[in-house]
Amino acid sequence: MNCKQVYPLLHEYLDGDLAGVKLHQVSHHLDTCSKCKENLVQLEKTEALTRSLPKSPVPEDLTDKIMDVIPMKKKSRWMSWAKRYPAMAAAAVFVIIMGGSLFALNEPESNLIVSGSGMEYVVIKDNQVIVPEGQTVHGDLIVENGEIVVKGTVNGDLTLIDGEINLLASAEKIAGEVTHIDQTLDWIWYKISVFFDLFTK
Amino acid sequence: MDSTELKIIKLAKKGNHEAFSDLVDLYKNKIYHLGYRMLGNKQEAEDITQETFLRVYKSIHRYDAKFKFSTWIFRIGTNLCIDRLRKRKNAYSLDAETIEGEGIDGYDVLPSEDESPDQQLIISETQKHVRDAIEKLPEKYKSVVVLRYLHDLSLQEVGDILDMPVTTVKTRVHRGREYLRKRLEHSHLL
Repeated sequence: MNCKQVYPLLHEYLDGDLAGVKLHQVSHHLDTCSKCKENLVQLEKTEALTRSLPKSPVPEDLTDKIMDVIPMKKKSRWMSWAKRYPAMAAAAVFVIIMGGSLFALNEPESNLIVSGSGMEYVVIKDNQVIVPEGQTVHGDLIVENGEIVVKGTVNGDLTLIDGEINLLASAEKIAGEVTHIDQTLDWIWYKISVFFDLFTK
Repeated sequence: MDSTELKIIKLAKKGNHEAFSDLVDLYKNKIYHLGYRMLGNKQEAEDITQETFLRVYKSIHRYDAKFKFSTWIFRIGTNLCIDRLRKRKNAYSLDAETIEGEGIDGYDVLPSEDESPDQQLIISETQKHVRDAIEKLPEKYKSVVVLRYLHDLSLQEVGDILDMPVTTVKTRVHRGREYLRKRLEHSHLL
């Protein structure tokens, strides 16, 4: 083998990838040719120098900088906190939901609504629904967000939603059933049951 | 890959925050060094580390545990570096070789480091020349040289990362080594 033939094989020789006759021929050539031997030494040095290059110091805040761009950060902080303190988390959720819903309920101006088949017999005055003395309501009454003052007679059922009933002493009678619904309270109970359902699942 | 790492990856796949930050701790230095050697400066090394982990985060559900995690994350990191090198080339068009055969191009005029003096690692003149020689390697040899020599990965691993046969990796190691030899000889280091 001459230098021209050996030259491209130097890398394989260096990597230990030569075997058999080729290895023998290259070794033999290197023993006798100082030029090729020099090339091999240079390649060995190059490799050693490259490998010995020290690693540059890593910035101390690298982890923070990485985590800053990971979008899950905020959500998972809350999640990990919630996992660590499940009771606190449940309480916090409860307070937020309750607070939110109460706020939502109280926010709009409550308007008096009167409905039912007997509504033509009543007098509406400000926030009051009045069944005048001597008057008989033929039918049912539904009063929302107001006070009903019964002075006369109601022949049907009376339903109050978020309202008050004022049965004057002089009131004659209410023939049907009186149902009192407090929406705020019902809303709270409803929310509580939904909330606990969520947790038992 | 050890079982601890497998567990961490499994948890991270499920969206576990702590597991993900464990992964960051395991690989951030490797990816930073990769970026530093590939791109030659601290700022871009940081950028590439951030980008790599963001991609890992976004696509960890697609990671197949049959393959080494290090191969997967190195592939993401290397691809991002190569992408930057190509964009840089397009942006500045400094790639015209000025010295025939030597492969010295317009980058020679650019300072390769931007460390502030207090952060500067004390390195020898020799190491500076080696660093510059690597910095100026053409991209296709650079990735192979950096992975093989600076990260001490096997030819097979380098091939897996760069998605090329081992024979191609070998050829590129040879050419890269030859290129470095010429440069270091030019600096009278050999």
